[in-house]
Amino acid sequence: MQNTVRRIGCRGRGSDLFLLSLGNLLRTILTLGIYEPWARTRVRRYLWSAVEFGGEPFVYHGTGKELFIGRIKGTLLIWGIVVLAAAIAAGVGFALGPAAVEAGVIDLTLSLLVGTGIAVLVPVAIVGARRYRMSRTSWRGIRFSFRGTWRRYLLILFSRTLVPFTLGLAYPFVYIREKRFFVTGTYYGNRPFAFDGDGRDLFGPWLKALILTPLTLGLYWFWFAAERHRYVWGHTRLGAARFVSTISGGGLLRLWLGNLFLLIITLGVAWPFVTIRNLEFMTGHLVVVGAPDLDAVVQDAQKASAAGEGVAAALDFDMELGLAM
Amino acid sequence: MDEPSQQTRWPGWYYDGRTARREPVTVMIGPGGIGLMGEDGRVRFWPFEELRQTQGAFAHEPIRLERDSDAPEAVVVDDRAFLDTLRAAAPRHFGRYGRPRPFGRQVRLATVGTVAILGAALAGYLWGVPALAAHLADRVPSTWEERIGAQAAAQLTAGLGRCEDPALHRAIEQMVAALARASGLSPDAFRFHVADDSLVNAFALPGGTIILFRGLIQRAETPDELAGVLAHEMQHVALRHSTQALLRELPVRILIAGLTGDAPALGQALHAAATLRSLHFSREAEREADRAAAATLAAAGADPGALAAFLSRLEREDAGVPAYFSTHPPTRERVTALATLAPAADPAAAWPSIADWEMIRYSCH
Repeated sequence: MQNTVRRIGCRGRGSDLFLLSLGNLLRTILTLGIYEPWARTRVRRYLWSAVEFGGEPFVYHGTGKELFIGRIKGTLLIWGIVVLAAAIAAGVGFALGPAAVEAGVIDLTLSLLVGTGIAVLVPVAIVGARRYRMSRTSWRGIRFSFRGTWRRYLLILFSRTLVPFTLGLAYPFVYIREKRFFVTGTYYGNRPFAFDGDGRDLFGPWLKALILTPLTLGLYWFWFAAERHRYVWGHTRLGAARFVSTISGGGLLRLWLGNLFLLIITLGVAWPFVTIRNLEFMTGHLVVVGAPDLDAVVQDAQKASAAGEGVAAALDFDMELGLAM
Repeated sequence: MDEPSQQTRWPGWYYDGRTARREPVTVMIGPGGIGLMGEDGRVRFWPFEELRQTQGAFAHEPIRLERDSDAPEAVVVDDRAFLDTLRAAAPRHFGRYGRPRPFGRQVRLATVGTVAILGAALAGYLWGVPALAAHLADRVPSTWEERIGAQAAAQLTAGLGRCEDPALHRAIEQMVAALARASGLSPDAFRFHVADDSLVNAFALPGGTIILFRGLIQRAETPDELAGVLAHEMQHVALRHSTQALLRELPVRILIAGLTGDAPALGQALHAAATLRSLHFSREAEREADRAAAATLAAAGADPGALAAFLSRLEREDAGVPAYFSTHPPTRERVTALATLAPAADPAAAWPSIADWEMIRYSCH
């Protein structure tokens, strides 16, 4: 095993992304929003190829058309669920008679069914979006993929809702479980990423954060977030290569304050510059130790539709740039 | 336009699309495609029509060409001159391919685009939307107007008592009937409520409902003054100003809600619009209603100057601006305009049956 240390570089420029976003905004307005999937694709193509490793940029292969079709599918899926729920609720009301309807049985059935539908759609959307993005990402001609299933993620999301009942003590375990799901489900070609983190390691820092964060008026949270970030990367591997992140709480705080300042004085117009600053910060503090023995990696691309992305967009939640993390 | 360089060979990397290995190649541009020569001297030929550019539209990106085949093969060249030569060699295939635009041109393009769209939006807001609203207002079904008007009336008078004095109602009915006849409208098109509140105000709602507040009636010293206000509000209804205002404000609110992605705000906007909470008429609409009201008053035999007199007295007497004026043009301007319209008429009894105005106007308390 070689112990070469290699940096991950970021070559994006805020001014490029700014002009790109402005052009996107104008086109989106002119087309009454129809252009939006193409706009999103252009931004991703820019950001993906702004990140390079070993002198090779990442490549985003998604197209606006795929996202557009995915969005239509996602919207139809949500409408389908609502219509189906309405039909079932009406059927239940009809079967139970007027007295039950008067007591609100239709409203209850409807909200139960729609609530369940949304609860299932959230993991479908998040996992689907990640599958789509990874399958459209390549480096050195080899595609990434994500092979985690939404059923497993549904269980993780469910355990996340139970965390408050443990007074937050279960948080590090659920957090690590979720990270393990995302990291180990990610493949580069036929090679899976590996993760050997353990929730117990984060338990001490988490307790410290629970105590110190209120005492420092929230400032300590940046140090905890940085430690958590370092921990997750530090336990991620691809073959013989491992990752080391060196972000510090102070650096994270400075980044965040700088971003806040930029966004406030420009009323949000500086968003592209903030995006590049974040990307530069994360990649600038990430190195790869050891060689990922590329000769053994073989193309093993997976099919993935953009329907999950479409559901995510229709549910109106946006996810962070998901390069390799 | 950049001159195609005389260079014919470029160093690049070849990816076979099956492994993560890369192979150094020499890339050559030929008449029908590109050739990739490996270190072993073997040459791969890729026709132009099978090539797709996936990177190279930005200055920091290398030029990356993919070939459609079972495995996604690709070649990457760092030298930008390669792309210019490629475009010159195969303009049909690469003419529209991404190449970094000079920064200054990008900035100019973005500025022109922004100014053009802002200008178009402003023009649409200033002229397009009002014209469209006026056009649509004439086509809105009257049942829809009546429903909105009734809803708004309920909202505006919620919690307020009503003045039901028969003499007052008879007087107002008589005025409405006479004013409607004088302007060629059907008296059945109008309904009125008198709300028991000291507010000096009156509203015209879509569908013909007019709300008069007790405060306004008490301040009218002659029947003609109240008739002036009624004539003015009736003209707002007849000219469908409320419906126009509704149609004019709605798209702007929808647009704002759409841009901010704020669905609850959209719901509130629709609600506010539907209850006419925040609607106001344009100055042009007020002038139009004043002109038509003055003509109606003259035709009904009432004093067209009474409205002007009433307005200027209200303004003079009240230290604060009364509600009736808050969304109207400056009173002085309106009074002057009304005075030029209104020939001095005989302030004699246009309302012979309204014998005791002093009693009637204080009938509600």
